[in-house]
Amino acid sequence: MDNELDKGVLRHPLLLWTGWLVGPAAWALHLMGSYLLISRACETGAMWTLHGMTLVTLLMALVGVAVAWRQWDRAGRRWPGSGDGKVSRIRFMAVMGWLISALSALLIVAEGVPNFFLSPCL
Amino acid sequence: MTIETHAGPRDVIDSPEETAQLERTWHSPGGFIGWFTHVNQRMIGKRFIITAFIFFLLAGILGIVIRLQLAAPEQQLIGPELYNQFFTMHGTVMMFFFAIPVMEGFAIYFVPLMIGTRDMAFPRLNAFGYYVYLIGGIVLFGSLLLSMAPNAGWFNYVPLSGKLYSPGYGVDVWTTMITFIEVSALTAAVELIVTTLRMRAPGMSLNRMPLFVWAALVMSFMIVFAMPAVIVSSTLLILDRLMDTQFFVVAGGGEPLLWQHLFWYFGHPEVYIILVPALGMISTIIITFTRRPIYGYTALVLSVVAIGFVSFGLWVHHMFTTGLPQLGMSFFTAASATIAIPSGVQIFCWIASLWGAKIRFHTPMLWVLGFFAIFVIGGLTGVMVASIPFDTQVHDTFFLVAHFHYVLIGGAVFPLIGATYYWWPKITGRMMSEAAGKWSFWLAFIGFNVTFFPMHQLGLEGMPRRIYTYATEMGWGDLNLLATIGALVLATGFGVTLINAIWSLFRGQQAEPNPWGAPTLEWATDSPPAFYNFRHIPVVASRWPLWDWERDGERAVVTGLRNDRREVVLTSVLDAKPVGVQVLPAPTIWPFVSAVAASIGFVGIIFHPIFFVIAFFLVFFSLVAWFWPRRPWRED
Ligand code: HEM
Ligand SMILES: [Cu+2]
Repeated sequence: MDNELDKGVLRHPLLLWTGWLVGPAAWALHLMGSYLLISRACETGAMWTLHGMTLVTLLMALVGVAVAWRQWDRAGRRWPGSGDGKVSRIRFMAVMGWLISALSALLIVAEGVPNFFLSPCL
Repeated sequence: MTIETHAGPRDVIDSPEETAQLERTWHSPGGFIGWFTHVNQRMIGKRFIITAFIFFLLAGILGIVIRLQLAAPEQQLIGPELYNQFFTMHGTVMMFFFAIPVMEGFAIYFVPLMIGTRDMAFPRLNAFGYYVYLIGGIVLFGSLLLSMAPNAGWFNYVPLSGKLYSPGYGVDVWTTMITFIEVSALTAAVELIVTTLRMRAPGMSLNRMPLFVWAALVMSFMIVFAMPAVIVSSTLLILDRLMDTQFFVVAGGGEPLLWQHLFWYFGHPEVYIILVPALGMISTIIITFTRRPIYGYTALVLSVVAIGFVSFGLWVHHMFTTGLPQLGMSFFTAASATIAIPSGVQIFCWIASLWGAKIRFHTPMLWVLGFFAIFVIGGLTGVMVASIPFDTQVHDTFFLVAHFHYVLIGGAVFPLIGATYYWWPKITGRMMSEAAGKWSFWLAFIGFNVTFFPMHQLGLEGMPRRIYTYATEMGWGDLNLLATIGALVLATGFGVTLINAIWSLFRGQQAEPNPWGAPTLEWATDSPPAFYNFRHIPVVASRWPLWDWERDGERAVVTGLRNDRREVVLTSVLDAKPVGVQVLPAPTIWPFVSAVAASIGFVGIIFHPIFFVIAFFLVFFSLVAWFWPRRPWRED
């Protein structure tokens, strides 16, 4: 029964980590990438590279949200409890996954906003 | 290996001979030499905890001396040179030799008990980590006695710590001892990660893991990601100082800010490395003393994990006054503000858990409530200094000293003392006195606020940190006197707990297996547990196994493990399904010998490069002995 359940919800149990990892990776990429691009942006005045960075990594984090949300959806979209054996564990991993990715997306947005207001040369 | 269900709380299936054999198998040898061969996780964990508290005591005494020196203007109790050594040692020892190791110690002791296993994944590595830590601490304090102690502050900035401005051995000692503590922390972290992911009791899927175990897991991952940065930076610095490389020397094309980046890339997460396990302790205590499941388990796990990773994106907020590009700094302000979200979720879940509950106000709970009061203030001042203009104003003043003591003492030491009262019966088999515990709490709580609250005002009035004295005309005398009086009260408060602990060992009431009525597995065995921790590995079906057993009057256990060798159950990462049996190694002296050999190299190299060669061979031979293949017919 266990394996059938897994099949119905995901291809591989390792995929349950997607939301946990993709979001934070996108955010780390955004932080480092933007930080590196600042001096370039100051020289060339090309702020679009910074905005581009934000957009791309934001999309990446949202993909993390989407994947984890789908897993949650298939596992019954209920808040994870501690009983129920395996379904409950899948829900737990999926809910954690999309929340982590969502928080990462929020971080990326929060870091992207100053790009519109501050000059890169200060 | 099979799983069986039994009625009644105690096991009924064991013959005394089998139990005696199990006891012999897991026994740690006695005697002086025997002491150096122990590998059982509870022995090592206990040593970490005791050693760390001794360092807390020593560094606390340094803190008191600092306060005495500052009590009145223009005092000459200790001169400027000694003052520099004292605050550097105080900060370094508190952060590296007390706070991190004590949290590791609690994790090493309690994670295996809470997940229901008999030892950790690599027992010998555990022992190695402890000896490295012990030797590092002893050498560091030895340097203070020889007046060779580091004096460039706990974050040891270049160029001050470069060869030009800090000749002498002090900074060399600092960099080397930091490497020691990092090595020790990394071994503990790897150990904890593998143990938590692969050795949980059958049935303890990730969504049933106790919150303290989650916290310890996050702490361990943070150590693994953060510590290498400071190992790199201190290695580069030691190369600069001993081999004349120019990594941080501007004249040679080096970059001093590189030090700050590397150090704070580690240093900021370090603060959370200390805080995260404390959060786990608080949740644990709240669950037990409200006697009901915590509100928002998933949200609490989420916030601990989130705090763990977001804390890696804040480090530049320690560098707001270094002239980095403003836009770049704003990214880090954004992250610094966002970390308030998971912290807020955490606090919200706790309040919801306490709301309407029948709270039992025992001593551990009191320390947790003290944490709430203090940490909120520390959090508020934290938000204040996360704002760049405000930070520029109070940077390097006593406002900062006040802020981080609120966060560190309120956020980590208070929960830690609470956890000590909570787990003391499990570690020693005795209860500490409740009355003395409450005295200790109130003295510490009042003393703490009297010490550190006035420092906010001193900072706003412009009193810089790290000055050994100040002129009478500045008018800082009164508040400083107040702070010093507070520090003495605070120290008395901690002292009462120390006396309480020692007293309880002789006179304390005997503890039952589960004196507080807690739901997690560490309370499912004797107090203190036998060498093998659990007579049978338990099987769990929810987050609160002991409450289940109480309700159902029966429990499932694993049977069929052999008694004549150190066997533990391996389980799968997500679901904790049993997948195999692992045989763990027996006591041995080699981790100790390897630690001594490595120390000879690290310490000796400060004085002469030849020690590198000597230590290389010593370490090589001791590792060969350590890893000598176990002959198959002995099967131990
Ligand atoms: C026993 C209570 C304590 C007292 C009375 C105390 C007192 C002080 C004082 C007065 C300073 C400022 C010295 C100066 O800048 O001139 C200081 C610095 C510091 N303290 Fe404490 N402290 C205590 C406990 C702790 C604890 C528990 C921790 C950490 C877990 C800690 C970590 C630090 C650090 C990191 C510094 C900065 C050192 C530096 O400037 O390099 N302290 N302490
Ligand atoms: Cu920080």
